[in-house]
Amino acid sequence: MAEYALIDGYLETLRTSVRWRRDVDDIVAEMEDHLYSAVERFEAIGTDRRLAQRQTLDRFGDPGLVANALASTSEGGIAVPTTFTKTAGLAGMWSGVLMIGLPIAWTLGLISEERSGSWDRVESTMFAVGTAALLAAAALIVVLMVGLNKRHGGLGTAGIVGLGLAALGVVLAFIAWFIFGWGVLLGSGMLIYAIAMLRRDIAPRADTVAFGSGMLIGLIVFFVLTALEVGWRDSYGDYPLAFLVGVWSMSLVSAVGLIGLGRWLRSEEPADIEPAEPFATS
Amino acid sequence: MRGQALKGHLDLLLLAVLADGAKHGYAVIDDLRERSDDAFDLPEGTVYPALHRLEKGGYLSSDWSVVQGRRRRTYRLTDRGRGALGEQRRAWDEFSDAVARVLKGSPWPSTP
Repeated sequence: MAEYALIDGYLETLRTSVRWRRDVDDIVAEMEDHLYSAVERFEAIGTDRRLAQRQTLDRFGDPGLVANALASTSEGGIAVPTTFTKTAGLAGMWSGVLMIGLPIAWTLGLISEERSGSWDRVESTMFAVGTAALLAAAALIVVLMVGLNKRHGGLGTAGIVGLGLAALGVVLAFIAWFIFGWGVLLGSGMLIYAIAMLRRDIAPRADTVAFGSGMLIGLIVFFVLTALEVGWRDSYGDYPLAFLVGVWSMSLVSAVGLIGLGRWLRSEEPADIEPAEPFATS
Repeated sequence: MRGQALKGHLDLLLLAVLADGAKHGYAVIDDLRERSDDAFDLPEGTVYPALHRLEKGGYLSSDWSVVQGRRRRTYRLTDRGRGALGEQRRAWDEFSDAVARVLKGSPWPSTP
C-alpha cells in the first residue's frame, strides 16, 4: 500500500524493533489493524490521507517508545537480546561441552581403576580432568544465568534466589571439594531459575526444562541405583556404577539444556549494537 | 492527565472499558478516550502491552478474526477479570471518597 507509506514505514520500524519477540507477526498485525482503523476514521471525516497518517502516528507514539513498552517486564527491566546475552550464550554452549567431558574423564578413570585394581597416576589424572571440566562448566553456567537474567529483563525474586544459590555453589566448589554440597546448591539454583524462566515463557521450554532438571535427575538416579545396590561394590562400600550412571544422566540432560539455551542466545540479533535502535535513546 | 499519573490506573480502566463487551484494541482505546473526554494523554501504542499483560495474567482472553483483509485481535473479560474489576472498583471508590473527604474538609484555622 504505497499510498499509506507513513504507516507502512512505521510498521516496518516497529517490526525491526520487536524482531526478537516470538509473537512479532501478531504484534505487527495488531498495530497494523489499529493504525489503519484510525487512518480510515480520519479519512471518513474528510482529512487528507497524509495528514490522517501523521495524526494517527502522533497519537500512537514513537516506535521506540512503543517497542520499549512491549519489552518492559513487571520487574521494570527490558527483555531484549544484547551483545552481552550473546556472549553469555557462548559461555552456555561451552559449559554444555564441558559437562559432557566430565563423565567421559571419570568413566575412563574408573575403568582404569577396575582393570589395574589400584588408584594410580592415570586414574588421578582422569579424575582431575573431569573435576576441572566440572568446575569450569559450573563457572560458565553462572555466566549463562546472568545472561539469561538480562535477556528476560529480570526474573524477580525466584531469579535472584536461583542465581544466588548457583553462584554460592560455584564459590564453594572452588574452595571446598564436597560435590554433594555445592552440587546441590548449584542444582537447586538452576532448578529455581528454570521455573522462573518458564513462568516468563521467553526462552525455549524444552531446553529450559533440561537446564533446570539435569542436576536433580542425576541425583535421583544416583540415590535410586545406590539404594537398589546396582553394580559392584568397591572397597569404600560405594557403588561406582550408580555413581557413573548418575553423573552421565546429570551431564547429558544438563548439556542438552545448556547447549540449547546457549544456542538460542547466540542466534538472536542483539538490539544494542545499532545506534538507530530505540532502546539506546528512550 | 499525564501518562505517568494514568499508568497506575490503566489496568482498571481497561477492564472497565471491556466490561461492556468484547472489543479490539483500537475500539478499547477509542472508548477510553471518548469516556474520559480526551483527559488521558497516553501514547496509544503503549496501551497494547497493558492489554497483553492483562491477558497473560488471565484477566482477559483474545481471539483473532479477519476484518477488511486485516487480522484483528478482539479482547474480552474473563471471570477472573470481572472479579478483579469489582475488587478494584471498590478499592478505588473507597480511596476517592477518602481523598474527597480530606479535600472538602475545613481549611486550617489561621493563627490569631
